[in-house]
Amino acid sequence: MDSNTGTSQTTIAAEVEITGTLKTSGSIQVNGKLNGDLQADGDVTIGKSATIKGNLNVNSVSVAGAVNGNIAAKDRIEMQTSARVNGDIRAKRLAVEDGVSFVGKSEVNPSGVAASAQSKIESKPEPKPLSQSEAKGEDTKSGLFAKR
Amino acid sequence: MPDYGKTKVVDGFTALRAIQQGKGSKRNESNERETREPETVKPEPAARPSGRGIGRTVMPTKFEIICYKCGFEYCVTGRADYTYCPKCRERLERTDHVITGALTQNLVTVGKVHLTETASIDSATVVAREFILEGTVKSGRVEVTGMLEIGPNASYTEKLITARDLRIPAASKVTLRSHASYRNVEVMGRLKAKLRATGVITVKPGALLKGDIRGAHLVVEEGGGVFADLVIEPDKAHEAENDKGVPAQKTA
Repeated sequence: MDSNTGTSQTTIAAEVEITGTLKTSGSIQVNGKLNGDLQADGDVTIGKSATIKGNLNVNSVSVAGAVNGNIAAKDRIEMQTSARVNGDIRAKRLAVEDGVSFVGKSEVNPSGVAASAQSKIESKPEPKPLSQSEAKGEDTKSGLFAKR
Repeated sequence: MPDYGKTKVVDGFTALRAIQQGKGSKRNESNERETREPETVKPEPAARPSGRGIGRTVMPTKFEIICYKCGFEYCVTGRADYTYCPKCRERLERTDHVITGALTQNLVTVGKVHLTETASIDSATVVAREFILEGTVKSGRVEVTGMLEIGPNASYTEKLITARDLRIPAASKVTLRSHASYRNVEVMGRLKAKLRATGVITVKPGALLKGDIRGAHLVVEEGGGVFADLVIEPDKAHEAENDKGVPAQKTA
């Protein structure tokens, strides 16, 4: 724990294997093996030697190891060269380095709506067919003028 | 008279003769030394600092050329109007062209061709190393051995154009309806496609890549968007390299 800033950073060593759901309100660095989901309100770092079999629900994550599961980040997902991701990802921002192995679906659109658990792929609504009056080019102003 | 050319027997007379000959040569050397100008000792040049000069060397630009006759790939450096294929000795024109009107005649070059917005290709075959498409391809065929760049106002039929690499500039929004295969893809605008890339797919900041993407390498820069089904497997890049050099063949 960093006493100067007050922020807490948990580190899972490379020799550690955890089975179950891991929850933290701070930041966490995983270098070992996790068989379960990971929920973190802070930043998550997946080390080179880490293997995660489960879903990640985090604020932001930097992946350098292997992840078999979905990743949902409120802010940013970063995949480094040695990352091996097998699952869907959803975030506001994405950065991928060359050499990454990734199989899954990506829903990252920095200029679109922020990622959420229930977000769906946005699609533009189909244009409404013109009414007869509109097609003829008549004045279609609504309100008082139309009723006259 | 005896022959004094070669001495076969060393006796007193030949020894004396050799001594006299040696004295005579030394005397001549000393005379020459006196008449020669005194040698001046040139100072050794200052030791050149290591690394100096490196970095100032300008390397000429290298161009990747694919012969449109035999398909042989090679590199040339610098600018020239033409080059000869090392394999088939075909003369390859390297001239760049800018098309501003209707093109009805065949155009074959290993340079760059720029089809402007007001230009069109009608019943003509165009072969180029690099092709910037901003106009209309009504009919004919366009074969690009290098990079194809699709502008925002381009109008074309996908099956008429084959290219090795693809670039989508920032202002362009391109939708490829048929399955496309390229070596490298660079997205700076918007691209929606069913895409297969044997090289690198690069998504620049502000760009958006949609669709079904399968490739060997993916690079997404900060600010780039990806809304797609992805299969990125660098380990299988060696299998994909078998497709190297084969332009995409799009089917209607």
